[in-house]
Amino acid sequence: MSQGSSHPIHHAYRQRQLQRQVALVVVSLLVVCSFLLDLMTGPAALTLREIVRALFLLDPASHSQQVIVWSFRLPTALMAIAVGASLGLAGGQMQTVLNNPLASPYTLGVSAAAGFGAALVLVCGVGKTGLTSTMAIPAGAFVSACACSLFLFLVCRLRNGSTETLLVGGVALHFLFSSGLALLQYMATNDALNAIVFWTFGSLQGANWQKMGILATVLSGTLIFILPHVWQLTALQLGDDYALSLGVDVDRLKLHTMLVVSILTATAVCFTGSIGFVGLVAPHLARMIVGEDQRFLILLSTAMGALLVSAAAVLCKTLVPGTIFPIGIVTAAIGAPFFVVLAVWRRSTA
Amino acid sequence: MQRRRASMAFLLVIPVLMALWGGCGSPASQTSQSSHSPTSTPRQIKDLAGRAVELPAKVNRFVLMRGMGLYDIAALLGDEVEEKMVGWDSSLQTSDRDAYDKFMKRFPRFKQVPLLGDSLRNGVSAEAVLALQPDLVIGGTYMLGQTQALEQLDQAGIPIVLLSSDDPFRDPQQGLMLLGEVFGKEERAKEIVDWVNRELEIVQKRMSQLEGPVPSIYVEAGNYGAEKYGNTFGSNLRKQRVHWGSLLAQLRCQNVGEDVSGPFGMGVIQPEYLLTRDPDVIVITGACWTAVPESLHLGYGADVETARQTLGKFPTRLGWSELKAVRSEKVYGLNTRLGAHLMSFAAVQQLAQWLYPEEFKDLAPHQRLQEFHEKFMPIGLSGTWMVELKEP
Repeated sequence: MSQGSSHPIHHAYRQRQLQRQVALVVVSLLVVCSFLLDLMTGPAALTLREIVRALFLLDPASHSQQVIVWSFRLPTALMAIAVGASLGLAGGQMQTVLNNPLASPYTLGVSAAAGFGAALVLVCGVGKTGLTSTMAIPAGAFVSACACSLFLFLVCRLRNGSTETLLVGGVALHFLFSSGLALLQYMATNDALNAIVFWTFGSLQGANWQKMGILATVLSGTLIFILPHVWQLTALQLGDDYALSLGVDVDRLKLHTMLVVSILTATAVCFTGSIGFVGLVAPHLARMIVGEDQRFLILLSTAMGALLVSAAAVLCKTLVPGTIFPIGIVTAAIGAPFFVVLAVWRRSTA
Repeated sequence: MQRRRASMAFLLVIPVLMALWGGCGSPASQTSQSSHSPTSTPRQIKDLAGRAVELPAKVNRFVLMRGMGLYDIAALLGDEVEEKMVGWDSSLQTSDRDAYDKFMKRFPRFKQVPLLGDSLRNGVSAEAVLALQPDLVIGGTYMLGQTQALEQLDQAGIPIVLLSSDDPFRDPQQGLMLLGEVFGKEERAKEIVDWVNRELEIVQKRMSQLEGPVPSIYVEAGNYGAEKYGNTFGSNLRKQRVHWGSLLAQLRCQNVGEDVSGPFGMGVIQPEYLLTRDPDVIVITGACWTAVPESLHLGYGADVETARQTLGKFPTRLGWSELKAVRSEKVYGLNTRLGAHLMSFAAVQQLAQWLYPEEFKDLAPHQRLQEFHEKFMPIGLSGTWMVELKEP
């Protein structure tokens, strides 16, 4: 390493580094703001003072306020962040590993598979599984999403892990599971159909500490697995051959990363249903700000995903007061046009 | 929107054209005169969507595109329904399984009546209906502009009568009077409607004289059971109240879910909103929902003990122990279909009694429901339709 700190390249690098750090801090702060806003808004119209008192269990008399803050608002607000972070992280990693900007849990069929699994449980009868519906439906979604990912790996292994195979396989699986879901909807009784439709909309309803705990654990595990590989993942961006020449076991790295983020996606969507476009848009936003440097990209797509879903959750609450509005509709409605604008804008500036 | 308006206009134009054409030369098939029908051939009626419909003198074969309407039609036609219904959609089978089984047992010939798919999902083929050569197709007003098969049938010149149950105080009765006219059973229809209206009036009259605070109520469909909030009944996206939403709006009570909106007038309440509104009475509606085993099962095939156990789990929801309704044990279960057909009088009486236990102490809604079945229905009452936390 050269010692010349006054060298213009070093100066530029340091400045770029600083910019990236600032971006990360700003987005993280925005997430915190959105989280607080999420905590403060709601039909119960609690004052800030009441929320703080309930949060720190200062006033034993207002039990219902404590329930509102501790059982409804906190787990839902945290769940929004955890789900968003998971989808952002998973989407970012899928795009990196597959070296394709269109990769996301949605386009690779994992979300569709989860929906299919949930619907299968509902149509075949929750009663036959011996579990309660709140357990059986997420379990069905999780198993199906994991099966989808596993199948992708097998295909990949057979074809020596070419990214095209993985992508084509994913898109094919997406359509396969979508048609399976449509068939199940056609066969379902009306009450099962309603349940399926609302599941596929995606919703934070039913968030609780248990689900939150599971998702947070899987999310942390994924980050712990991925973060030590940041340099290898960055090297992937230079092309597989170049990464190989740098000593990266490309196939192994890709497969392991895909496996880990697939489990993360499956965990996230099995609790909330499919929340579209976050996994696609969040990494793009992050990449626009910090580029391909994985040290920042991983963290920033995670934070960006969290911000998107958390902000959408606040919007949902204010859109139809008193009613639970499915968050998946909001994220898709904002995400899709936004994505188009992003693509056009990037092309014109490039 | 444009398409819907166009198709509505179309539905209105067709009968007029048919009337003109019918005036020029009556088809040979309509020459048979009916002894029941007081009107001359062909006759014209106005359905609940306000459409003028041209009908043959006698309706001997009808297709029911709104399976849930079987209750009302069976009350009117009695045993004749078995021979006159030549096809139906599957909505009774998929949404009200208990009643479906009950009717199938009572009328074995229904096994041979073709099930045409679900009209709610555009699952009915117009060709299949045409093949049955019906004199009449009975549908619901909500199908206007939604159900393609209906438009195609209209083009093919099949008379279509649309009924409604949006306002449970009026629409089912109006629908029955109309069906009475259609089938030449005006007297029978009037007898049933008078009976139902009398039962409704008992509540309406007494309620209009009540004074003092208006109790608040929360009604939720128990189709997910206690672990997940089901829909509550507010208004649809055009701010109209239908079924339970309409029924509650016409009773002397404050529906805490009235601002909740969504398709078909239903939506899920935010739990914290419910906690802040703290209702005096909570009613969970039940039916034969098979998708989720924890759902509240009420209706012809429901067992009272199981229903009470299911209902007993609702007060254990987070934060509910603080609710007024839970502390005073005013958590009840009521069959959800009672909000959408002729038998809503039972729901109205039962709600009145739960809202004002003293003032409506003398009412016996379950007994009235039994009486209605004995008097008018070809099937008998069985199972559990209302349930309370406490054993009586």
